[in-house]
Amino acid sequence: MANILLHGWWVKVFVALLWVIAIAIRFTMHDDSREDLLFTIIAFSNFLLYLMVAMRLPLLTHSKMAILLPNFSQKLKQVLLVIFGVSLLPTLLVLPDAVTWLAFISISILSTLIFVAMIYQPIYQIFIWLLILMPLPMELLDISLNKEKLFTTLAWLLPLIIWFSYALLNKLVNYRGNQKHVSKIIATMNVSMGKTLAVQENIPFSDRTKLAQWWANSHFSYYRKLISAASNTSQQLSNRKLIEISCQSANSFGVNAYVVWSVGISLLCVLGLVIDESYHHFFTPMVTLIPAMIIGTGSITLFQIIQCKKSYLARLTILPRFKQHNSFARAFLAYVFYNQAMLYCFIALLLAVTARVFGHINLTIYINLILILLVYCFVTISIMLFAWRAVQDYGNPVVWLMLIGFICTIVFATNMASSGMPLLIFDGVFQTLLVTSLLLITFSSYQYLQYFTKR
Amino acid sequence: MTCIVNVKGLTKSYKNQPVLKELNLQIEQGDVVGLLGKNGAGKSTLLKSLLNISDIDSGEISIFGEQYNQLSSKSKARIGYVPQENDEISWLSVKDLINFRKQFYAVWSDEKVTELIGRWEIDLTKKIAELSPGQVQRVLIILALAPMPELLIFDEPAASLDPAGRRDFLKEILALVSDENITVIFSTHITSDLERIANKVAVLDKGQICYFNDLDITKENVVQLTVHCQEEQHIAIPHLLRGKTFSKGQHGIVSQLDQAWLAQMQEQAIEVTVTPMGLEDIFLELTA
Amino acid sequence: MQQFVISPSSGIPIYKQLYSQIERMVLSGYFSVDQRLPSVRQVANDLDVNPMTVSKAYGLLEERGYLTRLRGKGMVVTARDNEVLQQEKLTMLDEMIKELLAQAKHMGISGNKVAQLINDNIANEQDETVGKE
Repeated sequence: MANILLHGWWVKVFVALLWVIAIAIRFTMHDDSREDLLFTIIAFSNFLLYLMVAMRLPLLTHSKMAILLPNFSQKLKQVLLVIFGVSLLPTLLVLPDAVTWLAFISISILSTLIFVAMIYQPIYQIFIWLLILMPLPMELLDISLNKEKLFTTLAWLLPLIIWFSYALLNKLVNYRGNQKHVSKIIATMNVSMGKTLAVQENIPFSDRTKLAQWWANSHFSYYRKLISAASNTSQQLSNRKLIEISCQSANSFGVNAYVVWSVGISLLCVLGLVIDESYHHFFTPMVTLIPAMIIGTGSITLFQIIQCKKSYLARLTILPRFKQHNSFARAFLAYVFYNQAMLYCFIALLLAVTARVFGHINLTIYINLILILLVYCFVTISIMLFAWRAVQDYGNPVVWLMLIGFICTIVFATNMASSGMPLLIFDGVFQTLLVTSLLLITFSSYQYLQYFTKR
Repeated sequence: MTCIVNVKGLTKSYKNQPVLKELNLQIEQGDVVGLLGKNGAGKSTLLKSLLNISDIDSGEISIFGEQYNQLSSKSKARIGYVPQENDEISWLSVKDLINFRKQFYAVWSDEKVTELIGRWEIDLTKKIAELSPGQVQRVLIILALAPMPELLIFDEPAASLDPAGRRDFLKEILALVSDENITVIFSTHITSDLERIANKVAVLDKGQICYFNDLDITKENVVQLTVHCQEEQHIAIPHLLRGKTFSKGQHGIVSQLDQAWLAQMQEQAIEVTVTPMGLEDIFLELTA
Repeated sequence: MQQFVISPSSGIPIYKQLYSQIERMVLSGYFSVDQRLPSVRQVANDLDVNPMTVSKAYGLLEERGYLTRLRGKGMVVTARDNEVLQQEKLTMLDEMIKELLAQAKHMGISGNKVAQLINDNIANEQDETVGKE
């Protein structure tokens, strides 16, 4: 059972790597200057592990066979306890004292409970939002958070937390409720990373939430209007537009998304302008998340959508419309570049606006950020193009690479923000990086065009 | 004969539409019961309700004498189930899936697994998602048979199998049935399979088991009758399902062949021709 | 080796089909006296039918005296009085004749005509036999 819950080399390797790094830092540091960093690394790695296991849990608890397999609940309970126990071993080596260690266990258990609750009952996702928004009201109400006191409290609460979570564990291994929502999660988890989106496309319209239905409808009606307008005026849609329409999905980052994001950020900025400047730094985590979410929903999603539509697009290439020598490839590249250019410009705009209001990044950092994102954009488009024209299914590694690349970018950016780096464009290493990524994208595009010419 | 599966008053509705209404069914040890029913009659629902995979509105179900929703581990180990749709984790390889399931059972026949994997030529390293529907069905069958269960429940087990595969599957079940302790319930559309291996047939219609009897008795009783008589002679045919009168006599289909009535007809020198029917026709007549 | 033929989709239950076949085979001498019949398992395996069905057929044959169950050997053909055998053969033919006559009646052909037809056939056959000799 463990290999189902822990399936997937990428995450296991990533988590193990983080553990090794943490242990290495622990044994090479001579003072407690890096204690916080250590704590963050180990917390991040463990939370990632718990999240992965939590996401796989429904595959086991809600499978038909779970009811029929003898001793299923006991075995599941055992495996979960063992995994949790093993995940605590590195912490033994890394964390400095008993109180921190016990507090860490409490935090781990609580966060695991929240992850699992979130998976099974989406309403609990509110916890994440609360966590992000918590600092502001705390400051407003003048509650100060003393780390020592917090850890000590958590350490003392541990027995209670253990008892509570054990009771919940017993309930969990026998839980079979909320079938509709859970089966959607299962459908997503039942495929490899390269296809997590495709499954959502197959959820019947009537089974989706009202919001999802409205979103999909309004997204597609934009394109419907486009098509009927073109047929009414008997004016042909450009090749690029045709391909754009073919690549749409309910999960596409379309006009709706742009509108919603703009409105959301505007509201945030208005709030920022109204609230006293000293509270601005509370918005930093939320604001940092913005590019992450947009890239996730606009870039990685685009990749998955097109990856799933490979055979559909292949059928399009043989239509008379595209009979001209590599006209399809050109139009396709045009669509991808246009789409991603819009996306990244939008991110740049949002970053600029929020920087102006919240002042969390100055001009130098902003320009650096833009440059880094540019490199990321070039590199990701290159690997996406590579995967799209490959016969084998590279969906899985590409998505992971994009995710990991992005996390690295974020980490680097946060580090940069706090350490006051000069303009990167003048840095030799970065220049090489920029040029390499430019070459990569040129090469990849060329290869893509060639691929179609040969056929 | 011990009653292995005992269902009383099973009622289940789906989205306010009743699917099963006060259904009763008793299955004895050693029976091979074929469950017939039209599409949407509720065969899958019945089987899933038995195994507590679907919730029920009301009713009492016991398996191996235990409450169906509180089965002991020992009882669970004696049940083998092949569902109609595959909800196994699609990125597991066949080998991993077998090893995963094996963990739960004290009794597991590796020889049987190896034999069937070899005979049905299944690639152990392939992922479930990469198998054809027929092969997936075969894997599910292997998983159900490996723990040497005493109660086998199949939901349209041969739906994805080609004729050769179906015959192979039947052979496997027949080999198991030779051991008299095995009880089998299977739902199917393919009446010819049922005719080979079942000894009892149950017909699910309008939410209830409208017919449940020994297969041989069924074939001997649900027959076509032709009564050669004059129109004026109104002969009442007992247990008539459907009848038609024409000038030279009457034609009817009965659910039970009344021997006393036959003897009576013979005495009155009225000729009665009895034509037996195959199970497919019997089913159609019973659910018309 | 497959010597029995059954049709599962026929309206006649499989056990009855087997019974009739084996009955005929015993009466016609295809199975000699004391010959062992294939085991239930063997037959079930060859024909792909439920062993219980074969068991039922064998049981019925045992009841009617055609077969005897011997310890360790299985089912063997019973040795019986020639007179009894003859009687049973005649009974079988009697059934067939009854059916023939019923058919004839349907077709509106009298019993006498049928008898005449039978006699003609017998005469022809005798001629042929004489002709050959």
